[in-house]
Amino acid sequence: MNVGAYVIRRALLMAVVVLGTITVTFILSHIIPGSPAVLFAGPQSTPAEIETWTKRLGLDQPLYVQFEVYLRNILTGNFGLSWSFSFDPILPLIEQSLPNTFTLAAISTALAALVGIPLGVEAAKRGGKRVDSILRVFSVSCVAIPQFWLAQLLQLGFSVYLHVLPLSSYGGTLLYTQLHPIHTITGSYLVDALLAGNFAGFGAIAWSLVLPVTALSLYPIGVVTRQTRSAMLGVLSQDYIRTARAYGVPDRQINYRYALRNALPPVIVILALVFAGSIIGVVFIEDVFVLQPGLGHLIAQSTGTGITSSAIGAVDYPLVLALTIIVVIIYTISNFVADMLHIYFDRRLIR
Amino acid sequence: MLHAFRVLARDPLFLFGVVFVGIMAIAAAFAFYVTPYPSQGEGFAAEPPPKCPGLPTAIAAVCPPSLAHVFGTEQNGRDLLSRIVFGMRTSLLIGVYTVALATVIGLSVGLSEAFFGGWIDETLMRITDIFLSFPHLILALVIIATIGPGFTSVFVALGVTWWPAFARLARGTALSVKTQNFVLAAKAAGTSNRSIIVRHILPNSLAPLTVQMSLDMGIAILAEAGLSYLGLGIRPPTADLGVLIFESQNFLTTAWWLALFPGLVLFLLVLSFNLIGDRINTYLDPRQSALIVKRLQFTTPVSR
Repeated sequence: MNVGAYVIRRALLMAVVVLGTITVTFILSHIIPGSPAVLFAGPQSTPAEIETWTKRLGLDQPLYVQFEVYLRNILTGNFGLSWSFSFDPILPLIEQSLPNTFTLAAISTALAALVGIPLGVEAAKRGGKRVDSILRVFSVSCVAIPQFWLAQLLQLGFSVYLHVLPLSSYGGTLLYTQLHPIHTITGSYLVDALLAGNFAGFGAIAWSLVLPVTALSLYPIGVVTRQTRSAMLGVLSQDYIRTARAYGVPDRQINYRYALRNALPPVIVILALVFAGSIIGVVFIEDVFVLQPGLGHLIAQSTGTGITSSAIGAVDYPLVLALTIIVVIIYTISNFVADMLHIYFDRRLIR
Repeated sequence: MLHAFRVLARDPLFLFGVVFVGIMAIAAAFAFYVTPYPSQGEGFAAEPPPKCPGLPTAIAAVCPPSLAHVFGTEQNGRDLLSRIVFGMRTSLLIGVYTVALATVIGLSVGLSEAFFGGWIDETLMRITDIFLSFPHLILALVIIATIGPGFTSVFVALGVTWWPAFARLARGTALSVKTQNFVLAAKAAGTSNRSIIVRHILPNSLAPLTVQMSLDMGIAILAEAGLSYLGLGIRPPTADLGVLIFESQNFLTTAWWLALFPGLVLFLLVLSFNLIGDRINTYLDPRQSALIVKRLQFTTPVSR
């Protein structure tokens, strides 16, 4: 099978996953207790009023008609109204929150690459010795730390006891941005402040992002270190490395020019997956640090569990289902990109 | 296999992992006898409620670590140590159930794919691919948001998200076992399909799955704690490590021990499972096992 056929196949899989998700969310939206008509009509409504609302929302149509309407709505971008945000339309809400989350995920992926790759190379260089063991334990620990607990510890240590970094991020800078509004270009506070030349604002926001980014990046750093180490170990045992050493090529050149370059492909693929994972892992971080607007914050709020949500268990079903679809779309696109990178580096993977 | 254990048994990290998990599992199983205040651990109120002198919290029952309460008490006056041990029991139980469920589903799917082949294989592989490209946390979130939080919901939701990895693994191993001579002989002798799968293929496909299972235990416990922290898993007053961390949020600035100890226990537990899985993995990988063997100083050649 050639590259084109493989790409088409993965793209089809992507479409199937997204369609399947939409179907599943549609089914779920009809299983959940409580009908939207009752919600829209209000607590003390007569059966006649509920009837009117049912007709108005189109809930009395047969199921396949409703599904067709649902599908058409989603494909045109109409995700319905959110229950917990005073019936605001959902798509603008999500659009508003995506840039900030993407910034966070991008920074943490970059950090994971910058810290994880050198550490992995160091660990592979001295395979089997003490440094290697220490780095192994380090990477396994990074993967094992619960992110929400780490976020709390960082808050405790740096904000409460050392008074160095702010406690909750945009929560503090949200005030800042309301006092000194940042001209919105991309929607992400950090990038906009930079683009507008507002260096004071950029500094304030960046400073407040230090703790969240640290908490978010530790897990990816562990993953990238482990992956780099194993890829490097695989490459370093190859014959051409041994030949280069026999020719007297200095070690530093061997490690970086020959070995790392050939070990990078799986690491780059992992980085794409790390980015996708960060988008989702951001839920805990944005909840603890109250980073609004943000995708994770929306998710926590919609399931009625965030710090700022009014009632625990007050699930905002339209928002949850819409977020599921959006997140699945982002996730499958990232997986698709990772797959494409994978075969770009190694054609043999196409069966 | 014996060879593997001889090497692993001299690996300090592996030993730490196994010993820690063993101690924690025993403590959790006998939680009622081990903890100083078992009724408080299970969630009943403390009587009489402890009084702590000179504390800046508005709730006087939150006491710092002392001789009577080694880890301190939480906002309802319950002893934190007991809560942590009972919480560990819940977390471990959910981890076990999740991995068991995922293994059962994964094995069934994987073995069916490998044994029957053909269009069954193709369809099941597509389904597995679809589930694999689904973000786990979101799927679990949606399932639990629909059927409500609770013990059963959590391990069902998590088990349903994790089986694809096991299915892939089982399928690969089962395919290679299927071509072995003893399976062909059994088929020639006319053994029923069910018999062949259960008695011949299944036991021989289990080995790589055990590594995956131990790694997944750590991840499952972490995911379950995360869900409970979000309020979508175990609800208070049932003790669970995620619930304890959630309850400590309001007291972050005043009672640091409420946040520190449950998280520390959770971290060490997950770390131990990860270490076990990681060490076994390293040993099974031929490139890296040479490094372990060299470092642990096996000077004489070890024969299988």
